[in-house]
Amino acid sequence: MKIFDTAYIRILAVTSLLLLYSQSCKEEYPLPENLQNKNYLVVDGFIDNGNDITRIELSRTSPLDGTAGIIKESGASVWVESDNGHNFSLYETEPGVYIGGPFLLDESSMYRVNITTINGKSYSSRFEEVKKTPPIDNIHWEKEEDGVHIYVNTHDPENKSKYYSWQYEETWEFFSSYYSSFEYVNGGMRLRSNGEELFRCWQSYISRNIMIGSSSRLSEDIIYNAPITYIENNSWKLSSRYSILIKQRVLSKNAYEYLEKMKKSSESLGSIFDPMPTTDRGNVVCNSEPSEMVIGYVYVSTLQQQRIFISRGDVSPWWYNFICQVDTVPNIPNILQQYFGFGGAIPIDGIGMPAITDYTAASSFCMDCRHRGTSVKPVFWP
Amino acid sequence: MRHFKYLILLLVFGYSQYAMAQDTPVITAGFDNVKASKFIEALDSLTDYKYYYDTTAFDSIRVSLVAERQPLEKVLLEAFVETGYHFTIYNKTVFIVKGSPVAVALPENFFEDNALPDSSVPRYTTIVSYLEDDTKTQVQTAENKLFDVGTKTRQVGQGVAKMAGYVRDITTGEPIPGAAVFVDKLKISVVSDRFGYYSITLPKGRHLVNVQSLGKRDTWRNVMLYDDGLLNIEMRDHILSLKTVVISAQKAANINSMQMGVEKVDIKTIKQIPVVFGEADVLRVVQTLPGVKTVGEASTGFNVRGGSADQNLILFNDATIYNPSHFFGFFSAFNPDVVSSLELYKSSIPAKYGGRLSSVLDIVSREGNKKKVTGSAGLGLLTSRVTLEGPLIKDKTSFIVGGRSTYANWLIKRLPEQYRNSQASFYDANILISHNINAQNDLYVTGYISNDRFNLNSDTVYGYGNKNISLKWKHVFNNKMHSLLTAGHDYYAYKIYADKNPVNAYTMQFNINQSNARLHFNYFLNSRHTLDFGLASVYYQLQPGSLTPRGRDSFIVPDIVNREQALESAVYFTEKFNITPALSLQAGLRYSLYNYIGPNTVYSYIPGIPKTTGNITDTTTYRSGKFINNYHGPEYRLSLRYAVTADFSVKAGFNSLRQYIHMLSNTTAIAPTDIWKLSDPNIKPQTGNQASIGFYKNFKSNTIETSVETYYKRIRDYLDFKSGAVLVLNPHVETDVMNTIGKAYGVELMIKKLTGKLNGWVSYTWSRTFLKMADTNTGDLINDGNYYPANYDKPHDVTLVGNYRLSHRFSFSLNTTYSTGRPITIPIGRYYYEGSMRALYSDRNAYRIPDYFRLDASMNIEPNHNLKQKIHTSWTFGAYNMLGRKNPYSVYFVSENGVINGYKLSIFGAAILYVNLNIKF
Repeated sequence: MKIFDTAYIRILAVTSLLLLYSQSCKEEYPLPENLQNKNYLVVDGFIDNGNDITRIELSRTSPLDGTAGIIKESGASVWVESDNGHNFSLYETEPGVYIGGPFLLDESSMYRVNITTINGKSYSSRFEEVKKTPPIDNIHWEKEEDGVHIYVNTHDPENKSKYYSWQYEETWEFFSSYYSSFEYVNGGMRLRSNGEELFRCWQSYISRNIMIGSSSRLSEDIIYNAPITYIENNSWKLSSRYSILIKQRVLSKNAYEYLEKMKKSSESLGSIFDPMPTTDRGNVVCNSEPSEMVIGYVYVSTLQQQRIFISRGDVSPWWYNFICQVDTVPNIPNILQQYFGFGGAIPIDGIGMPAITDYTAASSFCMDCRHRGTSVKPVFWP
Repeated sequence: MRHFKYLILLLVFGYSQYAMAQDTPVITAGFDNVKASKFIEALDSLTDYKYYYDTTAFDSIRVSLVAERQPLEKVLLEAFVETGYHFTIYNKTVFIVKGSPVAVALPENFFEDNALPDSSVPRYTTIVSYLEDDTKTQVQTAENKLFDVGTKTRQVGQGVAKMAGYVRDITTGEPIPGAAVFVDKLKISVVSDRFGYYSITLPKGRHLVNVQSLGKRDTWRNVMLYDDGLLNIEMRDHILSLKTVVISAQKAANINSMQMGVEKVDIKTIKQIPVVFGEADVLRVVQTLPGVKTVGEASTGFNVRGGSADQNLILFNDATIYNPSHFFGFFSAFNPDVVSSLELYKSSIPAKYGGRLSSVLDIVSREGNKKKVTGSAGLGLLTSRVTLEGPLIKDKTSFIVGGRSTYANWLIKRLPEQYRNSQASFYDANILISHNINAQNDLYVTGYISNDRFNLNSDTVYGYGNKNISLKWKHVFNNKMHSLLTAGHDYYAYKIYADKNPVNAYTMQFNINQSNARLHFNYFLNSRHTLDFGLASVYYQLQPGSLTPRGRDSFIVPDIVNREQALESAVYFTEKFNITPALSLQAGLRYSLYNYIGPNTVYSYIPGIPKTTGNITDTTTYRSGKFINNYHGPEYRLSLRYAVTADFSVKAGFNSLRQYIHMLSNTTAIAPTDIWKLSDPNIKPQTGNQASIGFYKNFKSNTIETSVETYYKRIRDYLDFKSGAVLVLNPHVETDVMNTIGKAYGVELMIKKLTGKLNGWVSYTWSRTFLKMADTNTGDLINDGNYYPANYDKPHDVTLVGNYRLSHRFSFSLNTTYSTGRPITIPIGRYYYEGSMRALYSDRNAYRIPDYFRLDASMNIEPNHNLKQKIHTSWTFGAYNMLGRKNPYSVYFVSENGVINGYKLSIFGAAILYVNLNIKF
């Protein structure tokens, strides 16, 4: 009896705790409707000192309903200005995207961006120092309990960087479940010439989160194992080979704090102890109307990047498997037509060569990797 | 059924009348050193009376007397004088016993309301107790006895006299605090203090003194007040009195008491209210009271009448508890087995309390059983509890120790893999020793410790805890005056550490040390004037934050924010003045003085523009012990009561308060990582004023209490935070905070029935709370400097708490609550930045989350009432959130994969069933 009681209690407690933390407590909630369009100017980008172009994107805040997409701010004139009077123009290459450079800047000067919008209002960012980004020391990865974690390491021997921001681009190679040797063309079977194209593909993902880190509390300017991303256990990203490019920039203290607040109000919500979300002004001010809200913080920095590759063999065991059902299709014209004529299935191989009695086949999704990526090999892929 | 019981009593009453009318027999006889039994035998033959006596050592008494035509009483009196024997004559029967006389009848005016306050000598009753020693304190349980208080005189004098004593539990000897002692006829009422001590001034003469306390059977004493004297009163548990007649004619404490905006809940009620996981929770019960709001289920923090969570002074046996929660806010840190009752002051805050703006929550623990060692153990889903209590010296010294611990830690380890890295554990322990030195002096020592440790799927470990000790010495000078000296030390600290990344491994700590002392006097001048006065001091020492490296490989630079210290002192004085029996006034003044003490470094800023680090004009360093700056000011505590009729009164009050210590938190719910900050030259103390008026009416012989209270409150210099404020490890917090003003108003309706099979309360509150950033020097104005609703502004709130007792052993409890959703800040638009759509926020708290509704039910199975049984077990089965509603805790909008998604977060997404086992031994 006693044992039963304890067991009962344990079950109940486990259930309760599961309820306490289970995802079912989180439900989708519709975005609020019918809200006024504030139409604030958004200035997204930084002034690049070095080999890359400087890219400033201008847009407007839009209503939440999502039909409008991004409202681009076209037709503005945008230029970079130094505190000793030099100007560098940017040109609109596509709506709302203003590009210039590469600019080689004087590291003892300060720079800002000036904008005159099509409606004649002028905006300026505050002058910012030129930040020099130290190179990435290495990208470190480690297989942990829940997957492969990727970290970045860097340091600044001059102890001047302290505030870092990262972005990454992941690319991974993957294969179809089977190699297709035949194709069904014009009512007949023939040997396939583009088998490689269906078999080997790549997919990529560009980070969309704000990733920042600081060494301001450390005695040396060291970033040790700052977490960048992780690959879930047995994910298809490592079904063959995976690559990550990490881009690093050094920020000014104020730019760092601005991004930190933005991250808190847009990405880090949903806990029990949430701060109240806010939208803050950055360092761009409307010259004629200083109280106008402008979003964005324009800083001056350089870009450093590094790429690594990870193979499935490096992380084994990696239990990725894309399970496909293989059918056997008799080599009878009208059955072949029924089976392959609509593109839903793709033949794998013939049985009974040279006199083929049947074909093995699987669904197009299994056979053609282009459904899940591109067969165009990225330039950096070895 | 009840009428029938009255009938029986009336019959008894009639017999006693008859007995009184009897002529007593007359004796003529002589005895010379005869055994007492022989003497009784002789009387037996001489009269038609029956004699009963206690044979034990009876024959050690020898009787020598000569009676000539003497009444029987006189003869008996002469025979047993100075023998320790009492005799009682009742209906031709004589009882002779050692010790107290046998009580045989109800007091004469038992059913009359005209208990005479005049000085007429009481009429003769059949109870004869000539042999009483008048100098001894009377300890009686009999309600049908006339007590002589003061030195008995033949004639009752003129004027008033003071009666005082302790109200105690009859079985355990524990004092009963908060018991109402009152004389209905005169509308004179006092309340026993936390030691059960009361003192009441009455005109000399005969009175019917009523005594009531929550959870106790009402009792009364017939008192013949000759002069100042002592009367101790013992009360029984209500639960054991089911078969007796309960006269509930005088439940008018709410009408007669001076205070308004006070809620008192005893532990029995607390334990009846169903709560999540079945863990009886003191603070959850507070959240069901009218005028009290909470931001959500994951928070034990509460907001009283528009005040913020840090404006509540939470006292546990006079020790200040800074973080009253366990398990990051799901449970309160008070062991229900040790708690005796709680009292929440929302409006009339007594002048002896100060330092917080909104309320005082006074939680009192039980005193240990003074008669025998007992204990109890509880087994719940998440915690286990053990309590042990008993006498150290019988009837003089008692102890009670209690402990609770969780086993959630091993439970979490049994959860699926993704939670394997989570841990949570907590414990708390209490000890209370009370020692009765003598009739004038009592000593109390309290200790409390609580500790929490958790991490949730991260390598950061959080820990926090309270440690408190307090010493109280109560001294009774005389019937008119007593004093209470309290000294204690309170400590709260938290610690966060992470050591997965060796380079960034750190430990962050915060702590508050607070030493406090208070000397309180209570002086009963006369029946119309009662004075309370004293002085109090708190010495604060804060470590606002320290960051230190953890491990040899850490590169963390130690960052230790300067320690802060301050002294808060106050003198206070309260007078309770009964202007007429119907009208009384309580006027209190508290003057508080605050000194911010060095060593410290203080920044000066350019006046008139926002305080930022760029605007620092001067940095002043003060040496140790130097008073850096002072704040002081008066606080007024006024209340007025007018009893229109015996069951209807009107009360009004005005209160002002000051608060010198502020909690810094930019999260909606109280987080365990919130820190406190002392007022300094840049941060002003908060002040608040509240005016309130209330109407109290009782129905059905006072068994149903109703009240309407309304209030208006203003708060000044409340700290709110600039967006993205840095609050930890910030040596100049003033640059990240701003002063706001607040206003709150509301109406609270309550219907309460605390007796009978069906008991409970229904309350409805309508209230609003607004804040406004008044400081134009702060830079960007929140909501353009207009009023905006506070996080806890929930206009409508309905709560029903009910308990239905099916039989002695089975009862059902229900707790229903509905409230308007709390305000949140929602996006008004979106923008694209750094690769993702992001939400655009504007006005603060312009939207509300959906309304909240929850129903909890539980069934309690009490042990049987067999006193001889060694172990009593009780079970509680319950369902929290029985309807399984996914009540919103928050609604938030988050950027995921480049787009904005909205979510509603519920803490409990389904009904939670629980079972609790309690064992008493």
